[in-house]
Amino acid sequence: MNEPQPTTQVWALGRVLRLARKELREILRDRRTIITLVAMPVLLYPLMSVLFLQFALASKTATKETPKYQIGILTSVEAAIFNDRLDLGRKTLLQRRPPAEKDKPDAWPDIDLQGPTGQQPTTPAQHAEALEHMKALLYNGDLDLIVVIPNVDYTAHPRKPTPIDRALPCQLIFVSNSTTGREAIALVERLLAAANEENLKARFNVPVAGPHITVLSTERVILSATSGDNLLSLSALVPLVLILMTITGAVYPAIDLTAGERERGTLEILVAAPVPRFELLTAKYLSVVTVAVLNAIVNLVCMTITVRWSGVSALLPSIQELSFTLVMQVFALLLLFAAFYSAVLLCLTSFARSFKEAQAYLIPLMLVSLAPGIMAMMPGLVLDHTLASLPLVNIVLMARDLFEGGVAPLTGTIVIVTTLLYALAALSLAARVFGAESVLYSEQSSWADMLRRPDEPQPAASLPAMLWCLALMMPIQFALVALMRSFGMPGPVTGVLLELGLYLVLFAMLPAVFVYLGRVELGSGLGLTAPRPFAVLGALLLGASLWTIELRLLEWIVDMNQYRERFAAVLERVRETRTAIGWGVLAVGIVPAVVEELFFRGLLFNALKARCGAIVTIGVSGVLFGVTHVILGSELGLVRLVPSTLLGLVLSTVCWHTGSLWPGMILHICHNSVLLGVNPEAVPWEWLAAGLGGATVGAALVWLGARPQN
Amino acid sequence: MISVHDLTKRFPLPGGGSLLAVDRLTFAVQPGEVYGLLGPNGAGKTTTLRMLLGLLQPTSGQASIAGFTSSRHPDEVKRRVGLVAANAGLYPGLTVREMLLFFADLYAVPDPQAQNELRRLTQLLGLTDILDRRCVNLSTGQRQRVNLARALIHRPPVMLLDEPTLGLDVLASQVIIEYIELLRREGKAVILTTHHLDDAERLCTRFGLMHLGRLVSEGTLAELRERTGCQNLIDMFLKLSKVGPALSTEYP
Repeated sequence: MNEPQPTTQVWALGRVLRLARKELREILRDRRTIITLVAMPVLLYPLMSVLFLQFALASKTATKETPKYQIGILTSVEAAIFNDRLDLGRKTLLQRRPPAEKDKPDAWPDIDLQGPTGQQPTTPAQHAEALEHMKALLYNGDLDLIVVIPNVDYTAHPRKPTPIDRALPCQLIFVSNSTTGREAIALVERLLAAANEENLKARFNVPVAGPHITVLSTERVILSATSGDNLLSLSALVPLVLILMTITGAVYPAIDLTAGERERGTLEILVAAPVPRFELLTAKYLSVVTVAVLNAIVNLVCMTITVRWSGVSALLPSIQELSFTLVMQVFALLLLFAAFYSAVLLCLTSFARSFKEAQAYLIPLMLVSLAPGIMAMMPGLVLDHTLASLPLVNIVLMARDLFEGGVAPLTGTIVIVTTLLYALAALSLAARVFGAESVLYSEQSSWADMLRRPDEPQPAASLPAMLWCLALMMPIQFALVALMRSFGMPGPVTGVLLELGLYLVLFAMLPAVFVYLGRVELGSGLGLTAPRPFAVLGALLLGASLWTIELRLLEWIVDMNQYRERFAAVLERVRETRTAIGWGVLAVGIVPAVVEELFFRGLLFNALKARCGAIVTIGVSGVLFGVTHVILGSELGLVRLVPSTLLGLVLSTVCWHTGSLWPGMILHICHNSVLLGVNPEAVPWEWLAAGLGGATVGAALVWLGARPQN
Repeated sequence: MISVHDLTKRFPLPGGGSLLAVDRLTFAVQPGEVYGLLGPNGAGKTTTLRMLLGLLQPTSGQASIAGFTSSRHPDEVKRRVGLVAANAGLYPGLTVREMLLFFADLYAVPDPQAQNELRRLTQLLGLTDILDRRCVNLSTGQRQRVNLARALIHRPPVMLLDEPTLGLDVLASQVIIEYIELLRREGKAVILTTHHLDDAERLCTRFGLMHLGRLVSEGTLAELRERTGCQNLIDMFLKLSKVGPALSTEYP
């Protein structure tokens, strides 16, 4: 009998949003949610502030009662200007006192200005050297603060009158975990602000004829603590508490919307409706994220109010002022965290058949989540590129660094990209489990059900599997690099072998596991079609030409001088390897090219191609290629994003048009091998012209060698 | 309308091996028929309904509704089916009205049509007084009536009723039974599983008797009486439970 034609199923965003609204309505009507959402933060933060205040009172009694701030300043010119401003500030603040308090003595701590040891610097080099010396004193605790007025002519006479009004930047340098440094900064900023206001007022009153003034606009420069005066970093404690509270907010909805539904008997009627399971799960995910974010907002508001009005901010030396920007940055980070953690929660609770079972799964998760959180509080732990890809630790450390002053753009990018990847991977696993037969009906299913291979061979890998593969690359790389480092610095040959081994593990062995689990047919899954001869020739030409364009592009978009040292390091490494292993150095170009192509233009590309059109397939595989190169570590860091992404896009385009993995692989091998032999710092114009010509002919040949797409 | 052919389901067991829940089941139900799928606990009735709806994948064989195979086009099948299960729950935080309109939305029923259907069903099933009451506050009978309304909100041509009167008192059961009669008169194809055999006798036009996953006998009440020599379903049921698959060989 002929089956009727089914209607086309479209992903309906409107329906997903309506579904999410219904879920939210139910969750928010539950008093358990309200207790977690409102009552806990309202009680917790004031309680924490009381504890902090008690702690501070106890420790204050042990410290000196009338502090005297030691402030380092490099030249007498700067000292004179700074002192003038402080004096004016003091006078202004005294005048502003209410009449009843005018006769009271000045209660501000003394400020002791210290010049450099030895002669005053007269050249920029001496100035820089003296500053470094003072920073050492700052770290030792001999100084509380360093004041630098960079634009002042410190060779001029200190009392020489200035011909015009001027505003000079004034850097206030302190160590992040120094309490007295923080207090000294607060006092200096207050006095300088008062002085500036007073001048401004005077200038309004006497606009032209008055004496010329010099005002100082302050800028904080925070030096991160190298070792802790405090056992734990308090600035990591606050984000950790925020994150824990966000987790707490998401736990109950995640259980209720999955295992709770199954227990109540509503899951069966829900999956009996003609709505794709992924839509149902997306709606549930949006609801859990929303509640988690609501929880984060309530917590952030309660924390901000507590910090601002309880006086606890003075006790958290390494935390900068809670400005609106900082609060928004932390909120964005919590949003990212909520997106990640909600996916993880849904993934686990989707597998549970009852509330009790879900709780049993989540308690270990919560404990496991605490460990990296507490680890992130250890002083001296730096958010480097490797830690930036470690789930949860990366978020806590990034929040800590935001509180302490800022995060490097590349590190921040790695944290965001890896966290989103982990979230997508968890969500894809949840989609596989949610409402699945083994979870919905079987009382005896096990975790192994999730790894059950399909009965029939699959023509391409699944997208969730590829997402998982990408997401797992980050922690595996982290673990392997940490393991390698524990053995010390390897020699050039061992170093190359280890690096190639890492490539094989990440891009060949790990994807092979997914190929096995997904029963993927290698021919179609990797695109192992024989290419046309023109395509191969074109790929060879492109591979030999593209590097000139890439490097010239790099010169245009970045200041190469900034990266000279890094380029030199890369070249030096290649040179050492070449000396040690001769032509074996080509393995450095060939092996990564082969395994990367197997993954990016093989499995990932064909997984995308099975479901999406040319633009998405080429775009996503190309961009992921670029991003992965940045995240998985390179001496060149973020600067590599643009050339690597461009190369990825070219490789994916070649793969799409030729319908085969091989031309891209040949292009990639050729490209990497050529790069091993050239100096990336200098690309003459003649070479660029030759490269452009070669690339054009190569592209034309690839076009001629294209296979028609299905 | 409903067609089941050689439908088989095996569940893998943790220690290895498998449990044969449904064994080569074949039957068909036409519009206007109420098909009583009867059998003791564990006979495979619920598993059969779940395979029909595409919630479980059959190990072999196939089930189809309105020409759509459940395993290949589950969403097309789901669109045409209303499911009432004995253990189906309600969303405790939603009111009856919200719950019914939510399901209308899931089945893509346009809003004006959903409102009309809501009015019709609340009158027919006596839900008017509890329409704005939260589901958590409903009695068992009220809950089952809401469940029936929920399954009917998209006016499906096929109804799968899995023990719809389980745990209900006589009065509450009566409302459900009367409504099933109405469904038959409306020309819907209905499969009913129940342990209330007297209700089944009153409602069903044909019966399929299941035991240990197999359909051991099928026909109208008169045909079954003739084959088994028993006058009522209770006797047939008892006989079925005792002799099981032998019944079909004894009374082919």
